[in-house]
Amino acid sequence: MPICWGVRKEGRTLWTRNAVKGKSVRGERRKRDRKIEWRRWDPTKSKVAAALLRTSSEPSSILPSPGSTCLYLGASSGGTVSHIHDFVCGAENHHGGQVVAVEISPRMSRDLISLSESRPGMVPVLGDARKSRVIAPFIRSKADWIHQDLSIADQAETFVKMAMNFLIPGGVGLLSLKAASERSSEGDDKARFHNAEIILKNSELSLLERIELRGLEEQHVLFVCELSLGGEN
Amino acid sequence: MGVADSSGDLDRRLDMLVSAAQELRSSWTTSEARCVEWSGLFITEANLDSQRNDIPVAISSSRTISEASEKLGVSPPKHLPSDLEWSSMISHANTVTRSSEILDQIENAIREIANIHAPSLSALLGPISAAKLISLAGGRERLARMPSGSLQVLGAHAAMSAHRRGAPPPKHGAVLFSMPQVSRSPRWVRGKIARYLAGKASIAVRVDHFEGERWDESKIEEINSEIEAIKDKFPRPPKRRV
Repeated sequence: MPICWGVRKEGRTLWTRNAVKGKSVRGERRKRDRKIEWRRWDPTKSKVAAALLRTSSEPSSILPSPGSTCLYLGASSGGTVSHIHDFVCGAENHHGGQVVAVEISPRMSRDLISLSESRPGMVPVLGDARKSRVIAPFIRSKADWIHQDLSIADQAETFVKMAMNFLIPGGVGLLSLKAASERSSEGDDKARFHNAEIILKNSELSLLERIELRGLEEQHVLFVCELSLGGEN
Repeated sequence: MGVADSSGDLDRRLDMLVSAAQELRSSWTTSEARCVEWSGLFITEANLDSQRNDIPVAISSSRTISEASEKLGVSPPKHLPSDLEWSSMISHANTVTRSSEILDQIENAIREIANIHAPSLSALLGPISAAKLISLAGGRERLARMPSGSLQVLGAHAAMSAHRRGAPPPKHGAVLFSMPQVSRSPRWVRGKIARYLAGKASIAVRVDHFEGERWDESKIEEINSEIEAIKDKFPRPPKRRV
């Protein structure tokens, strides 16, 4: 079943249309369907894929559309980013999309950079994902879609700040909240998720959905937010 | 049998070789990963996946880190390690390359002894796996007297003890799973093939231990074609129970 251009769901597995034919990014399975090559998107390794399986709304509503501008904070070695790139940019970026991937660790950035060499449209940025000034020079416009996956405290505050700076009105922001990264003084996992939820609700973003990732990614909840169209006025 | 005679016991000798190889391999993987990361910190343009095997060799065979970068076909590092730091890197890389040589050597010795001690089992599973089974069972005799169901799960200690506490039984142990006939098969026939192969391995080791007639190539061919037949019988995964 197609979810949107370049993304398929078959039973409980997800596939994206491989932008670099014949290559896997981290050893995932590939399959050919006539001229198209599909690359398996593993929900136990990617929180976005996990959220796609778990969401109760239309799966395509939490994904960026082909040709859009995306900001990915905490890209690591680029596993999820590569799948986003598959359908936002496509082979040789024929959709004209842009995926800006920010990562702070030089070791992870190294893999990210070599990945982006074969994927035009993907922009690796080595820097602190909390600092807008670091990211701003690399992104071509405001983003239609943001995903934040950082292992730091104050994830929700950071997310709100970055979304207000970079998200276009009407854009979608996903926050993968890792409970273990928040301060232990904030209570147990449940309390930490709750605190984050309150921060999002009190912000100018509107919280659309809270997706529990338990079973696919432990101690994680993914929040789907939207910046309403009148948000900037 | 006297103490001096125990060196004539091929079970013990095989066990020494198998354990030595195992220990060396585990220390090698740790050092190799460190060596690659360490060199990668300096030589930033090297591809740590596709050039992985060349890195320890390049480091240990170079006089300067720039020479090593040249051997890997990339530009020299922006910051150079100090002299003492660089010589530590060389020595460390040397242990990595040396360990892999020793590992090869030991494995050759295992092949030699296993082919003498358990020729039929070695022909069926390969000498390395045969030696691992003998070492896990605690000797050829114990392996030969073992039911094939036990042989099937050798190397799955954790899964077996979980099974005693109510978990589903393991389909195969580490040794049988390492056989391509099992690990390269679709998962829904792995258990069937493992059971079949364990039965044959159990017979093979009995042939070896109780001085039967050594299995030849045609016997092995026969077994492999039987395995193919099992695979052909179940081309599709069973339906999930709802």
